[in-house]
Amino acid sequence: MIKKIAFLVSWLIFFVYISASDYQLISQTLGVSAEHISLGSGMFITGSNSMFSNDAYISNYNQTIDIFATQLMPDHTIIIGSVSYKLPTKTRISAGSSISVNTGFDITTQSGIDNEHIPTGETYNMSKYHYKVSVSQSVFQHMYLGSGINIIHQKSPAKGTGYSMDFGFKYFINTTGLLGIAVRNILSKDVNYANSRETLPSVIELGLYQPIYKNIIFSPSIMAIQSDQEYEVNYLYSLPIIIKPIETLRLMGSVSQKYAGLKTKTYFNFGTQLTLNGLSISYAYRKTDYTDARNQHFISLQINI
Amino acid sequence: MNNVFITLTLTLFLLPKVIDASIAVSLLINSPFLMTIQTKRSSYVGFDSFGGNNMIADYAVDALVASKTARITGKAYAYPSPALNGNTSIGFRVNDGPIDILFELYDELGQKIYSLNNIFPVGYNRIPINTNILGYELPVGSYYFLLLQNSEIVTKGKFGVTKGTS
Repeated sequence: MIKKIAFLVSWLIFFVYISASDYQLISQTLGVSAEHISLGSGMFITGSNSMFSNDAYISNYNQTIDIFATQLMPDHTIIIGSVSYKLPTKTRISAGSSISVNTGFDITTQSGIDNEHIPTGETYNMSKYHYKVSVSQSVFQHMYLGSGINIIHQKSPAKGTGYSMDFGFKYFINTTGLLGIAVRNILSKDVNYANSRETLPSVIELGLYQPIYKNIIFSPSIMAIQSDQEYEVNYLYSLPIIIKPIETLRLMGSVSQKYAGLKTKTYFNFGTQLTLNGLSISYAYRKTDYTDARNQHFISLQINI
Repeated sequence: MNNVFITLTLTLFLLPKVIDASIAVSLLINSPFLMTIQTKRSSYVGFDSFGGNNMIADYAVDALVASKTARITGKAYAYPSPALNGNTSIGFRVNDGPIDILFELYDELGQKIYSLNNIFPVGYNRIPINTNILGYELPVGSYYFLLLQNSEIVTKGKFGVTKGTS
């Protein structure tokens, strides 16, 4: 088993080592659910939106619908949703999309002696769509593998399309602990515009989910990024703690890093998740720099059948 | 089971180093590319020339003394907007004396990615945003900016970045 895991890790590192630039997919930079944001990224989230973080999706439910919507910044709406269905062969098929629309940008021109910047009266929107189809399968008794295809469509102001592939791996190291590896944006990963292109950054993420004391779970992850951008570091971490005071309630807190330009910023994230009869509601809070959106609140909903 | 944990621990600690080493090797192999980047940065001398004050002569701007009655009139706008390949400038008009302004740029997650504190002269001023200023090309997305005087927001705006050729 050790050899198999070592082989898989080597293979994934080989595939991820392909030069890349930095087109930002909101689903890969922000998080795909309130639970995901609470945990500061990572790959051990419930619900079908986990297909965006690790394709090796594990769930006790046959069908799941997952929806996450937020207004991240002024005029900027994000909706991330997915459905997953388990076939009799225990193969799980998931389909999801992430929609990011920011409205009300002024088109400007220059006028007057000083060539002042003035609005023409027309506006444009920034709209970005990310579609994904993913398949996961239990291959051995405790091992799950998954793979997915991303289709990226920048709708406006300029049209751009591209696609990439993801791979995921999860392994039960004991009855409650999980090891996960996710590789995102490999093979073709260019978003092509009329006369230009931008490339998705390749990412390999390694994580652990392990109860450490009674109902306290530690779930660290480290993400290595391969990009043309000269980031001050090429890897980001998240260190989440999950507390389950009762079976239906999870309290989550994390310290995590994100890129801000070429530098990294450390965030504290908090959240909670309540699950009753297959219905799960999650809430997350994080603080950012921008004055008009300093306190960011996120809510997501899962319906499990 | 112990072996699994040993492997996991080793991988967690070694993976970043392996990636870093790979990148270093790649940069050495592709050294002409690296040299091109360095040449581009060192050869940078100023900003695009338009009308108004373009922040080219930093020494002249630094010599100004901010006036307490100075103010920004009207709203600041980015031009071009949308910004092709991340190149744009933020324009605003200063009246009643030189003004001490803190400019801040944020990405679409609300993270501050650039700031500039300077004294701007009377007239129309521009703050350029481009690869030379930031050290990298802004990815496609939405960006927000604030202009602050004495920690108070005096004007704000946003622009989108797109890809293509002009």
